[in-house]
Amino acid sequence: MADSFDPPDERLVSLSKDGSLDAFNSLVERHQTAVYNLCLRLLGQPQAAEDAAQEAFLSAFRALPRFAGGNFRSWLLRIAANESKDELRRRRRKDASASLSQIYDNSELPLEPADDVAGTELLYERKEAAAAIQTALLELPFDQRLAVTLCDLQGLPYEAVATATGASLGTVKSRIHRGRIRLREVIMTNPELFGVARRLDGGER
Amino acid sequence: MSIPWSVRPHGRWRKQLDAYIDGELSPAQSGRFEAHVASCARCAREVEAARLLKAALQAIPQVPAPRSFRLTPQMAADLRPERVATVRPSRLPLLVAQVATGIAVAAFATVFAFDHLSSNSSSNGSQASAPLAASASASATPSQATTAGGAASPSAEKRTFGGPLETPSATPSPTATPGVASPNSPGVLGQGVPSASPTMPPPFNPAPTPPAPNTGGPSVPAAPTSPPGTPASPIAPPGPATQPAPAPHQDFGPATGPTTATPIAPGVAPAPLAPATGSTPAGGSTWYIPTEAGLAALALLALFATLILARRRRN
Repeated sequence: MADSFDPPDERLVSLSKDGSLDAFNSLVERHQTAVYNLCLRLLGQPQAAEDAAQEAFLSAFRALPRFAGGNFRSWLLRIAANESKDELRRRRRKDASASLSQIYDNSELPLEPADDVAGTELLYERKEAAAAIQTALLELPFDQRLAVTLCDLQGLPYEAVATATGASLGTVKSRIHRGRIRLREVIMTNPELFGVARRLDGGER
Repeated sequence: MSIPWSVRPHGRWRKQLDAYIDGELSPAQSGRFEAHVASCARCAREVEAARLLKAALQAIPQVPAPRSFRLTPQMAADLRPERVATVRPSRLPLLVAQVATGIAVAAFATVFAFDHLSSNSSSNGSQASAPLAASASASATPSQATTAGGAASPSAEKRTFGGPLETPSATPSPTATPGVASPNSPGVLGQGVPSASPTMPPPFNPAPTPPAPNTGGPSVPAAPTSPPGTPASPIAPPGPATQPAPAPHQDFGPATGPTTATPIAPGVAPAPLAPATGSTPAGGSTWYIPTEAGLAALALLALFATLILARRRRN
């Protein structure tokens, strides 16, 4: 990620607008983890997420002259969310017979260990829990999934979620609220997820 | 440890819960929320559950990107021409279509207005000493009825043909009145003609009788009918093809026909009408019909083109 002596996004953006591909690629390197992870959580499939992320950066490069300022990362995430939506639509159309969950089922989520995890036992549980939550997340309507992902997984405040989704603050609040209610319903109806969540709770303490 | 995953809304507190655990409440709101939770076991459990869920979501680890998404110069080069290609298409066709629509509608409205001004003023003229114009429309009516009025009302047609013959025999107004009332009220012509129709019948009654006093007596009944002369401008806007056009002619025709026997120079009649009536009375109005039809068709065509172009542009 960005070091303290790296130029800020604004500087790199203006250099990119002037035609510097290197400057733009610095922005790519800086934000690609966030972009890829957003796509992955929205799509649930590594290959689809990779395609969407690459498309997002291409779109961003093309749309850069129209970037009017503000938070570059939020703008980028918004493009990534739109690309993910398109990708989802494409895949759903391609695989119209298979249900959404079927599409996700044959995917294996690459879940890397977080830095602070010590034991392999705990690591395994965490992976399992994360996979379970991820599955539940994919049951949400797209807009709710997007809002919850940006808020909880990307750690954005509501205001930034609103910017990144082009929605109002009230809409964001409502989407997060309803998304979490739905998540809990999904977890409730799946006892194995319930158990995972409990173990996760133990692991957190 | 049992975790209540139940989702039972508890009024506004439940609504604030997510914002609370996300730290999005104002300090004052947050304080009130905590005060409530401290005294409400159910909300306390909800808060616990929501925190747990958030923690589980946050525990989903970030995955490193499987590869770099840097753009190669080749990718950037491939994109650049696309930027040129995505320039919006020219506005010109739409503009042309819009202007054409405007011109066609205006032309149609003008012809339509003249046509109807003539028929209206002629019907007024029968009372208001401008019968010459009326004679034109009266003699023109049969030809119109045969050319275009067929579908509208066969009865009206009959009346039209019968009109010139029968009307002298004192009973033109009864026949004229129903004729005016029925085709006009369903008509789409807007304010102009409908407003004329109620005022028409009464003037027609005196009309057959006063031909002798000519201008003197009718000047009083003419006063209420003078408004119908002005509606010519309200008539102009509506674009409903040409069907409505023949109808008024048929109506006014029989009524005005007999009264206009004495030709007097049109006082209020529009200038362009005078030559037309002078030379070939019938030719004047038959000339209008195809012109109106053509212009209406043109206007519709241009309008369609505009709509199609506008929609294509939006997509």
